[in-house]
Amino acid sequence: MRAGNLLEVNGLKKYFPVQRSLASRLFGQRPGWLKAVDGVDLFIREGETLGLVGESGSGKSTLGRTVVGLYEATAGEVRFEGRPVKELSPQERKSFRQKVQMIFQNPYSSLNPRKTVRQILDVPLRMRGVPGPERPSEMEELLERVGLSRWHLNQYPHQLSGGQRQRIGIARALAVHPRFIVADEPVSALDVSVQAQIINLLMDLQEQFRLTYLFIAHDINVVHHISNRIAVMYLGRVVEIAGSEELLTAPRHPYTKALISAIPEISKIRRRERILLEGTIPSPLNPPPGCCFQTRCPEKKDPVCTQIVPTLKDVGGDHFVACHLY
Amino acid sequence: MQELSTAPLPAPPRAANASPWKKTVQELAAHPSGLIGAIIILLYLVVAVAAPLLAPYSPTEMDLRARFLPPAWAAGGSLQHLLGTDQLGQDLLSRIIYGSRVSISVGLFSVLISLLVGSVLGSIAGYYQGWFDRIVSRVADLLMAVPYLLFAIFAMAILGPGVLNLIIALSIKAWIEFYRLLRGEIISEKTKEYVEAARMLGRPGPVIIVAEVLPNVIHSLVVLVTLRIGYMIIMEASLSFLGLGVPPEVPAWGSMIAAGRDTLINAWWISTLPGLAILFLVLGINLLGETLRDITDPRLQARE
Repeated sequence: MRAGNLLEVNGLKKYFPVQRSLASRLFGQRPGWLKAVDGVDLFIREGETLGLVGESGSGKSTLGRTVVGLYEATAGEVRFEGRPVKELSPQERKSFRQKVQMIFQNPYSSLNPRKTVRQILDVPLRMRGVPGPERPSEMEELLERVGLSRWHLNQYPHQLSGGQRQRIGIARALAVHPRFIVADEPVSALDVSVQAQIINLLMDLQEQFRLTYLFIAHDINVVHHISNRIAVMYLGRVVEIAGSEELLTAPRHPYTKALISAIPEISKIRRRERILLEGTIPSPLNPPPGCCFQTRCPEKKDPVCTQIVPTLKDVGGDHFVACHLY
Repeated sequence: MQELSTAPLPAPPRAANASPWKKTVQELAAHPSGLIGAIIILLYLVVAVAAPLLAPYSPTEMDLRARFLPPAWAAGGSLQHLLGTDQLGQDLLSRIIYGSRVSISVGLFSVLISLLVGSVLGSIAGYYQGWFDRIVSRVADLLMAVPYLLFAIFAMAILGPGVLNLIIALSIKAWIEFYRLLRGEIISEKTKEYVEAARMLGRPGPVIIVAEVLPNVIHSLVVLVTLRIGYMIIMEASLSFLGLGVPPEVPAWGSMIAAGRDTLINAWWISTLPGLAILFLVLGINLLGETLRDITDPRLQARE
């Protein structure tokens, strides 16, 4: 593990068992596995934001949930502050729980509808060991930090707007003083105008509290704005990681190229040539052999792409690509 | 301030801040059928509690000179026995008043026990799933396959008559409804992000179930509790009718109906009046239960 890395993920896999019908089991079919995350390696440096993009079903949310421990990994390891999370003692696990938090995609289901904002924020403060008399002032400070006021303390989630709810979700995550936050599509359920506010809030908070983010989104524009580096996921694998500017201006992987060419642009002068991909993402129940992208790749080379799984290769300048072309 | 605006004003913040329970009570007041149900239930409860004060005679006091006396309003009736007497000359009104105690206590306690057992098992099975869920769910399926009344008859034949035995016999099968409801509700709730957020904060499973999930499913539990009490009262009456309920000397509506069925042509009131007592109580419970269900049905809450 290199110094300066807060989090490292090595060969992480998360498979979900798939129930087959009784009939197919009787005919000897083995239960299937949905390979949501299929061998991911990455690291996140202290204080940076790693953006994670990919289309729906690419496994980016599953990766985020496995990293924070909501899902148990099928294989591979997650190292936090240099130590494998699996080997933490119960006491250390408790402190890991407080150092790692999550912001959720849906601000409507991430807050308990039967609890007031006060009750929602009370739990993390209690978990951090803040004594009862000090909690009200802590709550007010938290709310102020996220751009709300103590006036909201007695409200129920259904009385708040989507943006306000997301701010409460952020306040809840901040309340335990985390070092690392996984933001799972925190703005995709919000209006565009509110999206910008939340992104700016997240960036301000990062500066104030020296936070490290894993920022998951399917909108590469949003990710580009907030991230230092971007990882592109496809069918449970990371196909390319590079600095944010580098990835947008000089993508290497054919999938990344197609993804970036699809960003809508207003300027007429700088119109890029669009790369249209054929078909849809294959099912993670039955991924293709070899390179995960071979079924749609415009630059596929037989037989290497259909037989050998490409690994991430350093192509210089902190840029890694999993593709046989390089 | 002058009232100029004709557009509907937003609800005052106080009403919007009302707790879900307060809202339920307010809505109940707005549903006449539920209110009628609640009033009927309340009346029966008062009668059951105050039975010794309300009953004009002892329910087991026989007066063989006054057998088969019709109700006061019928020909030959007397004001001494407002609802008439049975074949042993026992005062029917007093027996119906005391009979409410058996019906209500059996209905209430069998449902409470089932609620407790079913919710605990259902919560554990729904939240943790795995082997516990598989075993308990199969046992529940097995019990579900046996018709309820048949099962209760067997159980009472083994246990013997008595109020406590009635409660036990009915509870052995009644917990399944609560188990299934809570298991399903918890399975659907636990994938929601607020539960994941609670897990992220390191809250243990039992705390998450009780403090986070239960407040979100308690409304459907209340509805089921209400409706099941009505069903249990009918089951109790059926068992008592078959002579498998309470001992013969204890007045119960079901056994009163059975006692009067030989003389139904000549003395209709002996069977009919306890039957009406059951009818109105169960009607009241169902009115309340169905109103509660309508109020708490999220599909009808769209205007929120």
